[in-house]
Amino acid sequence: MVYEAMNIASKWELPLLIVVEDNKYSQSTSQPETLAGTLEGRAAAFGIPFAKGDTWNWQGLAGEAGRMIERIRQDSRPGMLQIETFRLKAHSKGDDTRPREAIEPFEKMDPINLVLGELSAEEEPWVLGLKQRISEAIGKAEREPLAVLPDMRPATGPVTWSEARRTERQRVVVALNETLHQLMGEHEGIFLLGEDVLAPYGGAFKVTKGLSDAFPGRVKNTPISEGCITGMGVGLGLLPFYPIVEIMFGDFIGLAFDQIVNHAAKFKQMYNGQIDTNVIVRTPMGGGRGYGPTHSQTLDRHFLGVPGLRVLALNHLIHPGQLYRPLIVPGSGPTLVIENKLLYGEFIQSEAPEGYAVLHSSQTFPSVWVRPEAAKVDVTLLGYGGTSGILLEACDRLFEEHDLVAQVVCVMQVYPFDVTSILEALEGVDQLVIVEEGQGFAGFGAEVIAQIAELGTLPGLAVRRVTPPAFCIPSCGPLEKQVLPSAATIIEAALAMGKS
Amino acid sequence: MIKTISAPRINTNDDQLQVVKWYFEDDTYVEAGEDLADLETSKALVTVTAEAAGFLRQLVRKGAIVRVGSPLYCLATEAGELSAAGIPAAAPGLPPGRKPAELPAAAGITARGAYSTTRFSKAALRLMQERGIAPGAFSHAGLVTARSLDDQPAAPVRRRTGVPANPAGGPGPQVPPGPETPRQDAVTLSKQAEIQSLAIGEAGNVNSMLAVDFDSAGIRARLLRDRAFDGSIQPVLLFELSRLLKGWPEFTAYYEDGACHFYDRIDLGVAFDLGRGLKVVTIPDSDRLMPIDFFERTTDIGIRYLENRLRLEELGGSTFTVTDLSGLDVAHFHPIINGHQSAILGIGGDSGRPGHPMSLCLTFDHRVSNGLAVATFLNQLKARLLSYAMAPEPAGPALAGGDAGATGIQCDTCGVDAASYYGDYERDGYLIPYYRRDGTVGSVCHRCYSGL
Repeated sequence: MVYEAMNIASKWELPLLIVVEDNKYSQSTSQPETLAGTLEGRAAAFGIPFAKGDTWNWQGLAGEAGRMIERIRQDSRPGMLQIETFRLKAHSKGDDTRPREAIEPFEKMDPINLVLGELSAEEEPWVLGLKQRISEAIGKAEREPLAVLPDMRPATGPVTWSEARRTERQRVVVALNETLHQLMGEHEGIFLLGEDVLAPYGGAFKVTKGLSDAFPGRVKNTPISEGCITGMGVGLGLLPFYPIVEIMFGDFIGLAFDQIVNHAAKFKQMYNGQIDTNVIVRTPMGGGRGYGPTHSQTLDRHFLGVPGLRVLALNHLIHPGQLYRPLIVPGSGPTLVIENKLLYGEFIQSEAPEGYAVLHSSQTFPSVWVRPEAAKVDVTLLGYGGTSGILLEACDRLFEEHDLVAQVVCVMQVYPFDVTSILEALEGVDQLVIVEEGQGFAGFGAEVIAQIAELGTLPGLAVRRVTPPAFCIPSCGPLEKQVLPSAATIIEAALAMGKS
Repeated sequence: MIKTISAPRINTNDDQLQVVKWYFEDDTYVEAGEDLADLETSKALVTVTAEAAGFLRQLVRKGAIVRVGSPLYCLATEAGELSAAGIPAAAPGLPPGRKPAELPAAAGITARGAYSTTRFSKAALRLMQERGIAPGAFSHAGLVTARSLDDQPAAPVRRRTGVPANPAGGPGPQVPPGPETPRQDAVTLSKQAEIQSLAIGEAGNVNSMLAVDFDSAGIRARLLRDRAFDGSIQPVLLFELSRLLKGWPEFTAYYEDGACHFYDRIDLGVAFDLGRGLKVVTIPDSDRLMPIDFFERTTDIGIRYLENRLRLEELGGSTFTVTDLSGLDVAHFHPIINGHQSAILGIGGDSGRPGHPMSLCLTFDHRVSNGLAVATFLNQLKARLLSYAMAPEPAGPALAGGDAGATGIQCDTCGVDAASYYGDYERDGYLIPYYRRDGTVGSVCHRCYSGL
């Protein structure tokens, strides 16, 4: 990922100073054990100017660094500065296994030790003052009460439902593209990064079609490096920008896992709310197109339950604007948006199916409730994302062909998720079928069932999950069909529940 | 101590039943196991016995309909306990004759709900067709399933009274004022079931009827002479009908959803009405029975009909129905096809006319069969029946070749002659006529026929 960053910094001529603190050791492994080639050679490979200094000749280092910074600012190009030094203390606390003889010569030549050893009359009170300031700070910290965690309960009121407005009949991908056009027109801070997103190609699924023509310079094609793209987004999001990162295939989001989980999701809490990143990572997931085991997965489950990360999923029952618009506000925080390949081509449900009302919840990212006009509902079909199509089809067929009144609840915010937000739809219904395209083990459905069990107010509710078997997603069409959930398997589950 | 006993579930389909008769008055002491009440469902009449000994308090009056599981009667161990406990006398139960799901539409009442639209499931549409409910009877009812049809609240029944139906005086259907309020009487559950079954049979069908006539005197004479079935033609008719039906699968079938559904079984349903309501009793595997079997079965069914001992499983599941009104001297009639069947055979007859003419009246669903086929079928059946007839002396075709015995009839397989055969088996025996390959009529005894 470092090399990808160097590559793109050089390619895009970014004024970036890369400082390598070369202290000769990782935790316990000395550099010659693991390093091939040279640092200079690495910089050269990306066409990045290189300079070198060391801490023992710190006057010389200051001069070298000054010249490097000057040049970076002047040329708007990255540069790499290698600073040789030596780690005198343990990497952590008491884990130093190096022999004293190896360390001692460096202790003697360490510039701080040298300065402290021969202080002048003017320097002595300055050092004494520093030491006093440190001990005062320690004393103050010790007198303070211990820190407590902030209140982490979601600050949401009771969820209410209201009838959805009719929307124009258009395909999800068109609506999504329009939404991005609108938002980029309204907010100059939106940048779009991804593989093959530029015109005329416009992204593998044409979501970004035409955006680079409409907003030149704000849509960037990137190298095939999910970690790098996401890292850039995370960094841009720290500034007052709204970077939108497209990961072409959700299967490869694992390559950005570190950026999302260890950086984007952590900043706000780790730095006590002082900073946050507004990065939006969009990625299509899901099968049904014969793309095979590594281009068809639904992997969002691995990102559920990461504190500080919001996971949203687009579905065809609601306009994509209702997902993306609330994200373009200051402090919205890092968000992973799961889109679905088959969903792109579906039409947005423009009006309620006959005999049903389509309701949206009052949440920022509304859940959709397709509520039947009937006194008694037999079964609730719950899902999110790309399953919305088969949920609705199953609902319709359960009524039409099997004389069962079903309803659909499709959530947009998959994490954090509180089951009380959809409680109104679950009350009075005896059966709940939860549909997931991704693996069921430790997934959304498992979480919903756990929350329902803990809640304890729906003791009579029978639950069942419809998820793929524990198998990779085959390329072969008929096999893929067997693996993925469908309206038929949902119906089968609902009917089986009715019988048991 | 007072014990309350609930209305039992008599069969899985009926959630309500009607109290037809109480055997004891209130406050009578009954012994455990004594016959207590007759309860009727849509399919059967059963007598329930007292669950325990005690003083009776009916909680549902005679003629009322109760839901399964609701209190039916109380038994008190001490006299006077019931009055002391303040248990009220019999409640009227559900209004008699009202089946909540059916009445609104039957009475032309619109079921209006609070929803924006009305949408029916396929099952609901089917059920409505069976019950004769028009979709227009619903408005703003939301999603209507077959099950929800039964949960519709009963709308008030529009009565034919002298009071104008539309007191506001606005436009509305004018009901001609009658001289007085007509008397209303409950339609029993079993009558409702009968209506329903017949309504299914008629709903959407393209029905037609053909009839053929024949003189039955010759056959009756033969049966009397053979001392068979007390001279009744019906066992022979059912026997020949069942055998013939095997070659006509279209008559043991029904039409639904654009397809013919074939039972490929001959389970005759024989209509009985001996004064306690029409019951169609199924005789399974009719094509494997001998005439004597039909004779015994129908006799047994008739006895059990009169004793209310018909079993539930006998009342349904037939694949073809026969209704015989010849005993009432009805020459011809138009029978109505039962639900999920394609045909019904009506047997008419007039004993007062020379030759005792009889008729075979077949109502059939034109979507499954056609006139030519039915005509062929009926004429084949007629020919088979006439083959039993004794030749009018002296002319007419010989019933059997050979020279065995006084009647000239013998079993073609074992060679036993009719006289010795009937001597041995009396009423249990029957020589079954059949067409030989050369076109002449031969006979085979029941032992040889059934491979004994």
